[in-house]
Amino acid sequence: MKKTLCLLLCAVLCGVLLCGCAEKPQTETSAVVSVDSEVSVDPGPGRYEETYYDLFDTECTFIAFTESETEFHEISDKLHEYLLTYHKLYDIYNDYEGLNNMRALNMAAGTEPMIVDGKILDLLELGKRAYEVSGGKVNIAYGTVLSQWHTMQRVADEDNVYVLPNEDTLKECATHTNINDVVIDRENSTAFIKDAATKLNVGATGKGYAAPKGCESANALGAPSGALNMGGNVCTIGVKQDDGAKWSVGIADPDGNGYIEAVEVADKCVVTSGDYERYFEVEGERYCHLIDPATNYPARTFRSTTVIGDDAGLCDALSTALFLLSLDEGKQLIENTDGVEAFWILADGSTAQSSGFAALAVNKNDESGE
Amino acid sequence: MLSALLLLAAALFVFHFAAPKKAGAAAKITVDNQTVATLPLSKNTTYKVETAVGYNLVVIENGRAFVREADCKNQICVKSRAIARAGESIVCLPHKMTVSIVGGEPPAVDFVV
Repeated sequence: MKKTLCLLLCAVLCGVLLCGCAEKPQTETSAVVSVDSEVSVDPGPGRYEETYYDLFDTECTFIAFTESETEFHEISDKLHEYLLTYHKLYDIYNDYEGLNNMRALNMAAGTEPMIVDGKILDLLELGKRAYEVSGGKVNIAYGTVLSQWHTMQRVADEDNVYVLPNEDTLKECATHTNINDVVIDRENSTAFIKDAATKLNVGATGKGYAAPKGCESANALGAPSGALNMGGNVCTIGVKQDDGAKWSVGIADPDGNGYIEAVEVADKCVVTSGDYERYFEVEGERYCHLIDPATNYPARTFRSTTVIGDDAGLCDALSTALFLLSLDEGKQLIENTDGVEAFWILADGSTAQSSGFAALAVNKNDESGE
Repeated sequence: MLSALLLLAAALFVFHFAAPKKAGAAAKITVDNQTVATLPLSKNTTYKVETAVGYNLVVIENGRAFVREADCKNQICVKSRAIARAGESIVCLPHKMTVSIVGGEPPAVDFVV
């Protein structure tokens, strides 16, 4: 009797121990994943993503559903190359040998027209449209003022020196921001800045122009379902291939607790302008990168503004415009523009939304995913 | 002898079923799209990411991940918000480093902007 009991206990013990052993690797791999477990077998059809770190001075992430990992990387590498051509053309800080880019155009201000790539002419035309739509709040010819602020941001980041631009200098710079001094000549494929002191800055329009072009390119390269996030400009291709769901985009809580609202889109773009990623502080005051041409200082009404629509270039310009306008002016602008919706987070943390925004919003009760 | 064995069996039994079955959310750290570490958010820790061009000190504290310190030029990663939800990320462009939250519940959203 005693013996059988002992045997039984041993069996139970062994069972428990074996069970424990069998389950251990599972918990370990999910808790601490090591790289060496990577095997060179293609996982096959699925969702893949890659981040590019060298585009438009911001992080860009590409997601796509492809038949294999190899196929994904083929598309992703070509997309990266494609976006790099836009990056170089729209770069106002660096020279590239033999390339007449935005920086070259700025350097040639006040001299003579320069032959440029059609992609530059397209962007300049979008810039003029953005100026009109935003009532002058979004101005590609505002570069001279923006470079003053950019310098202070760089000094803050790199040297930990926190200073503001000189007010008189800002005023003087602001006299060289006339959009009509930017001359586009389609016939001769040239562009020209008439005033030597006027400089272009395409920060508010460049990514918005390139993002949908990137999506088109990825689609043509063989991705029927994907999304591209270029530093807050999200463009999407179709619906998600695995479950047919739309792409979901969260609008960040500016104080860092995930997102406070989320929208679902397919073949649309979502663009957010916010004060919480690029800024510096002087005497406890926050100075973000979104400068109001009316004051030459950062706008303070909102923490972030988001625009959802079909045309990424327009959405990019509109989200910047909303950040710089009052809530009433912004609401009017959105309601008078076809096919766009908007979401505002105000300085006090309260929110506002356009009349059709609710139809795009994700039902909060479904968020848990259970 | 028997009671000792019984106790041991009972202890093992309890331990086995009380042990966590599923790992919660974790912070995945990548450098140029290669995973270098995956740290569970449930355990407070500090991890130094060494890249070819510099370092980032990633901290896991009370279920959130953030970059405490880095020798990158722009310090954007250091100023970034702490992250805790699947799909959120912190990026250091100069070091090509990303900290993103993976696992736990399925990602509620594809992007946070």
